[in-house]
Amino acid sequence: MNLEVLEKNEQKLIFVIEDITIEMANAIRRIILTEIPVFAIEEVIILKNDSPLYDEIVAHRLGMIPLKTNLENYNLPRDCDCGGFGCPLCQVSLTCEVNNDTNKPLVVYSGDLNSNDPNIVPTHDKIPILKIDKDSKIIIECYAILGLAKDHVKFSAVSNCFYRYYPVIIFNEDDIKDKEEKELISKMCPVNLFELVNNKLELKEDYWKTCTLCKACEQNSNGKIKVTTQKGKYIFFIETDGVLPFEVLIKKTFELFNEKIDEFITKLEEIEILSKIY
Amino acid sequence: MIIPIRCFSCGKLIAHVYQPYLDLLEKGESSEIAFEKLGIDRFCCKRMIVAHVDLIDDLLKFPRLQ
Repeated sequence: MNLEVLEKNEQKLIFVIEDITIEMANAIRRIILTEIPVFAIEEVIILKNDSPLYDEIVAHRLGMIPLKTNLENYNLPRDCDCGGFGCPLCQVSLTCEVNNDTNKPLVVYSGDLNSNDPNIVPTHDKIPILKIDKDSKIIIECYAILGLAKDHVKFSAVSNCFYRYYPVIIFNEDDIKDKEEKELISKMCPVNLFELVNNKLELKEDYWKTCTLCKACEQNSNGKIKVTTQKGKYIFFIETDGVLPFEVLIKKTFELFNEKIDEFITKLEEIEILSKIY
Repeated sequence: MIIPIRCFSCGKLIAHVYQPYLDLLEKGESSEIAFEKLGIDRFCCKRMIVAHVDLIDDLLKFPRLQ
C-alpha cells in the first residue's frame, strides 16, 4: 500500500492511496462516516428560556454543535460500567447561564458554554445558539455523551468523506488531424484539461487532480481519446469540523476495521465448529 | 428565524460563518470571493447562507408566551 498526501490543513485532507481493493477503500469510507465515536450534547435541561425560540429548537441546536473529542479518557455509554446511566467516565456536563444586562439584544454563542472538562469544548466559539432581548435570562444545563453517527448525524466525525477513481487519459496526438476537432475537444472539456498550443493538442500534466471522468473528450473524438481509470488507485477526500485530528481519525478507523475483521473471523470459526457437530 | 447550525444536505458547520459573510458583503466584497475566503465550497452550503432570512430580531419585540 502506497499513500501520498496531496493537501492537508485543519479542515481538509486529500490523499492518493495505491494498491488497495475497492472493497477495502469503501470499508474505510463507511467506518469514517458511521463508526467513529464522537461527543455531542444528548440531554438538555432548560431551567429558564426567555428567547423567542422554543425549548425544542434550542435543544436541537445545542445537539448540532460539534465538540472537540478526547477518545482516550471516555467510554461509550453502552460499554461503560455504569450501564449507560451517566457517570464521569461516559458523560460531560456543559452549563450556560447568560443574563442580558445591556440595553440591546444579545446573541448567546457556543463559547458561553462552560464545560466541566476543558478538553471537551465546542470546536468554534462563535456559533450562535439563540438571541435574547434586554432584561432576559437563559439558564441551560446540557449533558454530552459519546455516540456513533449511525445513530444520529450529530455524532459524525467528518462532514464529508468520499473517494474517486484515479483517472487516466490515453491519446495519440497523430490520430487527431482535423483542426476543428481539436478545437472542439479542448472547448468541450468542462474543466479545461486540453490546451491548443501551436495547433497541437496538449494534455495538462496534473489532469488527474481535476478530471471528473465525464468522457466528453472521448465522445467528441469518436473514441480516439480514451478515458480509463487505474485499478487499485483512489483519491480520498476527508473534511472535518475540527472534532478529531486527522491522525487520530485514521488510526481509530483502522483499529475499528481490525476489530470488525477479528469479530467476523471468530463468528466464522463458531459456524465451522457447529457444522462439524451436526 | 436564526441561521441553522449545520447545512441541511451535507452537515457542514455553517452558523459561525454567517456573520463574517455579512461583514464581508458590507465591505463591498462579492459573494463568490466571500465564500472562497470563508471556506464554503459546495453549493448546498452556499444556499443555506444566501437563502437565509434572519427574522429573530423581529420576533424579539414580542413577549414570549409562557
